[in-house]
Amino acid sequence: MTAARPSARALRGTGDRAARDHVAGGRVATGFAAGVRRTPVVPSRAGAFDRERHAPDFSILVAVAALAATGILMVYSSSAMKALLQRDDAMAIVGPQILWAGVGLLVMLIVMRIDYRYLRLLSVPGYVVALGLLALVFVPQFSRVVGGSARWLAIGPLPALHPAEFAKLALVIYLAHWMAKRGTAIKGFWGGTVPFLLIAGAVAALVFKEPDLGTTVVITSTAFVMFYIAGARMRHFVLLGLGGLAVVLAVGLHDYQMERLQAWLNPWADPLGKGFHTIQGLLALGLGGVFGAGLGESRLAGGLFLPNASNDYIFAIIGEEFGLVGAVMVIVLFLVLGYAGIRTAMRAPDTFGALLAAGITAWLCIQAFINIAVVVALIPVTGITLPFISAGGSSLTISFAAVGVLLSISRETNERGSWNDAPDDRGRGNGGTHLPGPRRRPVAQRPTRRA
Amino acid sequence: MLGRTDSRGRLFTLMVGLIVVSAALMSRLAYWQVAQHDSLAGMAERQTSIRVEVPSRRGTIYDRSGTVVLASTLERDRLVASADQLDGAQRETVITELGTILGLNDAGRADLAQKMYTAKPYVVLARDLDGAASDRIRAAIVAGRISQVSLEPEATRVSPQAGGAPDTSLAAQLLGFVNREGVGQYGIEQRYQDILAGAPKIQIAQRDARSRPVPESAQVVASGIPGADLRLTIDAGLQFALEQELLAAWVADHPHTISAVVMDPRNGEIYAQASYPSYNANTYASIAASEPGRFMDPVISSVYEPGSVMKMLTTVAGLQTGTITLSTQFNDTGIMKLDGGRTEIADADRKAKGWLQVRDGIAQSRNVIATQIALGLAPTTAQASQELFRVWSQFGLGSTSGIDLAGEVSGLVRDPASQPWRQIDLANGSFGQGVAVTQIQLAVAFSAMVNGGQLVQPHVVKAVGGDEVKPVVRRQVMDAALTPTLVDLMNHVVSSVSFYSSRTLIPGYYVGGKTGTAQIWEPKLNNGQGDWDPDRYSFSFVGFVGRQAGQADLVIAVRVEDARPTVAKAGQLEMPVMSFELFRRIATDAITRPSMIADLPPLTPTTAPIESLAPGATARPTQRIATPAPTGGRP
Repeated sequence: MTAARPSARALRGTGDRAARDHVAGGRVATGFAAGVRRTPVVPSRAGAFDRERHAPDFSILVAVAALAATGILMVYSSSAMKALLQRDDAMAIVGPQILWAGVGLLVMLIVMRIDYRYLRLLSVPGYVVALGLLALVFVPQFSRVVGGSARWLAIGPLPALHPAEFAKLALVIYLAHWMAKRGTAIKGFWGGTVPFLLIAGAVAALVFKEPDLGTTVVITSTAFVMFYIAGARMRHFVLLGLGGLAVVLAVGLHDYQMERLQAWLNPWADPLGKGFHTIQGLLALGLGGVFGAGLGESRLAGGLFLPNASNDYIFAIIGEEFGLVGAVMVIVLFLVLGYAGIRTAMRAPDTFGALLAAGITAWLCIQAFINIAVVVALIPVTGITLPFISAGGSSLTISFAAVGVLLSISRETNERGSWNDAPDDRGRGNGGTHLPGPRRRPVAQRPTRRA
Repeated sequence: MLGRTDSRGRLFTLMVGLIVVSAALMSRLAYWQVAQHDSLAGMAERQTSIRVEVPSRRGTIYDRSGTVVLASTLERDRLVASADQLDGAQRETVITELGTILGLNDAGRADLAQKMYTAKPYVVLARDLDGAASDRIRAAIVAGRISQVSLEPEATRVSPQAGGAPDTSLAAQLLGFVNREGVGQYGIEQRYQDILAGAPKIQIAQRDARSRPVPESAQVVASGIPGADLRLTIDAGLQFALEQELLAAWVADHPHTISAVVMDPRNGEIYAQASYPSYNANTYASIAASEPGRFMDPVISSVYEPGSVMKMLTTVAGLQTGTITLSTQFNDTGIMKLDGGRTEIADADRKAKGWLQVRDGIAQSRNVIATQIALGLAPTTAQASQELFRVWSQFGLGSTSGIDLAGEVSGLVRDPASQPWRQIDLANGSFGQGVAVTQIQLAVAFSAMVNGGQLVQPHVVKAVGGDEVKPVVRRQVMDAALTPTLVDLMNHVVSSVSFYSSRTLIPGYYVGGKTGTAQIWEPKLNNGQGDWDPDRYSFSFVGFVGRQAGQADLVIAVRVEDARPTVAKAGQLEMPVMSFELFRRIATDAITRPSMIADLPPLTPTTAPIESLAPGATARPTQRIATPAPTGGRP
């Protein structure tokens, strides 16, 4: 868990002028961070260097802030009338959303200033706590049933918590930590694939049991993406995919999920029953057209037609009020987040940071795209929220925290191949960990820029 | 430290994956929002808009004078409550207050309390409030004594005229009623639904979040047509008198039902048509569950075996085929074997009266003579059956009369062409058993006998809006020259038999008709095979009344269904009020009403001498037909 520490060998090996300037306290003007002021690396105690930190990737910040602002706007637009009718207060739903957005922003601002490597300390306890909370949902006095599944946890006077949201973040952190520690051993079957399945499977199984199919899909997909990025052996990966598909087909599909599948294939077969949500979402999109009806002009959001207008189907309301243009803008914002997140992962200073960044990015983007795909009827109804936009305090706060971590990583990105970039561990395909230093196997020589 | 194990290549793949997925999402989005925009927006439009139909004022129904309102539509208040907005104490207040205002008894209060505690946002507490109750409730709402309760105007169909019997409205079965949806049920209200209701004003409005129309967004799609008023041929005064007479007779005789129709034989106008038991159209809902059968008008919707009334048609058949005259004599044997002795028919008293002229045979209602007339219509039973059936069909028996009322039935008349009649079938048919018709069919058939052979279409609507309805003559069914003969015969029936004459003749007027007494077919008898019940009878009388000899001004058909008479002697059934006696009372009421007399055409001197009244003046010599047995048709 130490920072990439420039070694004399590395410096000599690269012969990189920028790096030397850097060590000398000069300014670095690399291709990536052109114009970005880098803090000088000051020798700290025991000869360690403070990590070089620079400004975070503001494109992430801008994208997320835009999404959250859109979310508050759309939650208000879609819930005001319903809240006014049901609770006599137009702000009943958007009020908490604003509050939670504030809390989330604060959490993000704090987390982005903390060295993400401290999360490695918290990864195991966090994972255990997440499992505990997920298990606690099955204790009747703590759980609160929402929409047919016990997804919420209400402990004492605390605000109701959605443990699956916390579990997503905890799993991503723990997987990143575990995979980074595993190194190339991840390629092994017993050393990599099986433990990976146990770690991710425990969380996925508990969430699936709630039952919350949508979140299960997000968690599983995110875990597999991280596994893939971490260097899983493709053979295992493909086999796992096929096996997973077989499991899903054999036992995973409840009757109500089969019904959802049929409703997806032909929503108009049962327009007032199973196809209702899908059709109402599509009608909202259709009403929007290219430029939309305008903010607050949604006809389907009033509560009569789209019951989940401020949650799962908020994207349909965006499409209705802002049209194709607005809806595409939202997708583009998520794409920006995805691009910036993956760029952060590529340039992260260490494997843990890279996997963490990739995991968080994948999680947010997968969840968003699944939600949108449901609304546009590309996949069956699953029932998950649109990150940053849908109403929901737990989801919003945790998503902001995750982006905080992402921003924290983005503060330490550097050009691959620069002096403080960790060398590629190519491994030897035997699953053994390569450890640097005496009595350890030599690290393969990494290519230099000059070569 | 460790080297890097995360793969940049795979991260790049992930990025490509995200781009591909988002491209898919965007194109799908464009498909729905651009390509499918019109159809989806149209569907959404239909879903989010609400079609509001504002019913037009329903037409008023007047009697033939155009002044007496028989049915009209009023706005009455409906009391509704938003029970879910009240807590327990407030509900109790509302229940107590309303109980006092509406003067409810304990059961009414319990019912009100049950409605108040349903906790629905919209509960109808009471309907059809009268003006005084509405005012008291309005005052209580204004004073703040009750809350979350409101009055809504509601179109209510009312029959303002009381009927001739307790708890009935005038001509209820003839008029029918209008249900809560504004749809006429039974009678005129159903038959003239489209004309009375007009076309509603149709508005399309956006729905608000409570699914109520937004008034500002309403667009009028159709402006609507107000309902037309109807003027009936019914004379309200006569109708009322008729209902009173029917009630009196019902009280005396205690039949299942009693019904009568008074019509003008010349043009088919119905002057009055009623039955007892009837109902009150203002409170139709109270019997809708228990006795919905009362909604049907027996005159047009109930078939029965008319009995000896049908002998008139047998006679017509005989006269038309030329096989008899009124003076033709037949031997009344009392009992007559048919079908080679396997079946028999008999007179009511089973006594042989010897040789009788047709006019006396009909007057004394001898079944054997009617049978002999029928059997003698043609050489074979099959041909004779065809002949009798042809006369029935010609006179409209077994088919709907076309009266402008809902629910008319056609009757049950077997066609000998499809299933040949045996002799017993022909015999039964000749005196009206084994054939089921409606009262209106009989009235129309008798009208044709007395009006010169024109089968008129009976009708109850004289004018729609301001347009007079033209009377329709369906066809000529009989030689017009036969009318004086038949009129005379019917007069002979009621005047020659003292049993009838004492209770039928009206001094100063000219009456005629034919009685009918039929046993009622009871499917449970004869071990479930069905037989005529010997104790239960339906009595009929169809006759006419005229202001001078040989003239028929009104045809009246009376039916006393399912009565238990006392047997005075064999073949003579006594009732406190006999059907012909009831006929006389109705006829007296009708003919003496000033309004009715004004409607009838002025008296003209009788033109043709009535042939049968002058014995020996007949072209046909008096003949005796000794043997009724036809040669053909025997098994």
